[in-house]
Amino acid sequence: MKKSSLTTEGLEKLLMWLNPNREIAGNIYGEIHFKLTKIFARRGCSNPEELADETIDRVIQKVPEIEHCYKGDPALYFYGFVKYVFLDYLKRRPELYTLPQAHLPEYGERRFECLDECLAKLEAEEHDLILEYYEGDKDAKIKNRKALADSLGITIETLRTRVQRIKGPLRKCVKTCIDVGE
Amino acid sequence: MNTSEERDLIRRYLLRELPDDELKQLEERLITDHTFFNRILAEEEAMIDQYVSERMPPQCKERFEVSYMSTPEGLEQVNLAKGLTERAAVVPLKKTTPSSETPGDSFFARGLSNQFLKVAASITILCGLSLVIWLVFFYQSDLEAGMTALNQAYSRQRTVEVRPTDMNYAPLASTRGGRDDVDDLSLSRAKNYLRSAVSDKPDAESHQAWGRLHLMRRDFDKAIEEFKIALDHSEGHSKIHSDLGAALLERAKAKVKSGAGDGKVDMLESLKHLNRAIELDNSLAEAFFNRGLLHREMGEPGLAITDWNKYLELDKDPESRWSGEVRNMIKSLTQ
Repeated sequence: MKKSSLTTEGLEKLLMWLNPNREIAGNIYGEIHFKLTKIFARRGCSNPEELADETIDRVIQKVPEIEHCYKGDPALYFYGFVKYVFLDYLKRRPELYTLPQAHLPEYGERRFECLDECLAKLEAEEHDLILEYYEGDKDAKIKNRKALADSLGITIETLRTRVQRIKGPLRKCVKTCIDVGE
Repeated sequence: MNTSEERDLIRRYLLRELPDDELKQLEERLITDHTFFNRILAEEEAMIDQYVSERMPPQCKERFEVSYMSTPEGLEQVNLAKGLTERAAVVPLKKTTPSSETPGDSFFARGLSNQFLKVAASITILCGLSLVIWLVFFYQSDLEAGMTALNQAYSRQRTVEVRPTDMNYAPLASTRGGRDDVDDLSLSRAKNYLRSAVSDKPDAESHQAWGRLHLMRRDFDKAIEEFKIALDHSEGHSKIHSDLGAALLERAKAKVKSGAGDGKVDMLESLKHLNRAIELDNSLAEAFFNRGLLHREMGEPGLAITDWNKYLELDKDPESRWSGEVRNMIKSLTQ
């Protein structure tokens, strides 16, 4: 994995630019990273998190130039670099952009072991939420989810959003576990 | 755009059917409009669910397989959903009760300390000087007793790589979670004493000790919260800065390991506090130990070795096992 060569000073400046309050800046940074990862993933890239990192690294380099004059949502500034990072990615790995035939691998023992391991790492609340969300078969599942959303005082849509957010790191954990085991 | 049109747009996005100009517009909105982004996540989840539950109409299913599942991430998403569906039937819920570890709710611990003080005061009246001498030389406060018990609990194995202040050496647990060799009885005693200490005398030291307990239990969020409260009481306390830096570093490592983030924000915050600890007290060995670990995690081996060499200079016992551990770490970076 390509390591960022930028200093903590650069990251510090970025956070200050995003928001003078460190905690808020940290949340904004995390959210932008998540969204960039989703953008690259939906574009078919095999390493969306790394490309998100690369985008952020490029923004960090520019912060000293723009911090006092940029006007507008900082997130849009990040988006401005997506096109260039994506084009560089295509130059490096063109063969991955041809659409392979969808093939769902067998969910074997190793995969289940990794899933169990990664589920155990989740905080209790997230762990239970995601298992309760998937509990039951077809019709029962739909009823369960409605009941789960009601018990949490949220809509089904919000419940789905929460599940997607939990599944992001979970998916990455499982993938890493499987890759290490191979 | 009404809800139905927006839903259709999102589906087309997820199926990679948008032309370039519409894609750009959508992505710009995705990155700036939090509500819209959440709708995309929800719709994605609904589509995956429909597919995995075999409720997707055949013509949609084909489009879904060709477009959504032909990306690595899409395939992983569907695969994970299938795995979770199977696992949900067999994996038990954690179902933790709300944390009871709030100061002041251990009636027995509070009662014991209050009762003891009443008795101690009565004996003081009766025995005078002898009791005063006893209190000065032999009495342990809840805080001291709690720290003694905490050290006992983790005397055979420690659960975090960092070095919290005022904790004795124990080798790092080799198994995940490091639960195998924890003295649960001593840990329970430590919880009671330290909970009582924070409740009876909520100052920098008691919050710091309470934070150390959470750090050793790998509840990093709670540890960080307690250390910050401790700092509110006493900003110029070098050991609290060192412990807070340590907890932030462990949280960052945990996030990286679990894929929950890159940990960079926590690492930056950790660096700030460890630097401050050293600025306040440049003989605080723990801070150099921990900053060495942080530099290693940040991919700065040279700085890590510099910090650890400084640690070795400062360690009052060069034959200590802490020093031995540091030497091994330096060796692993230089090989």
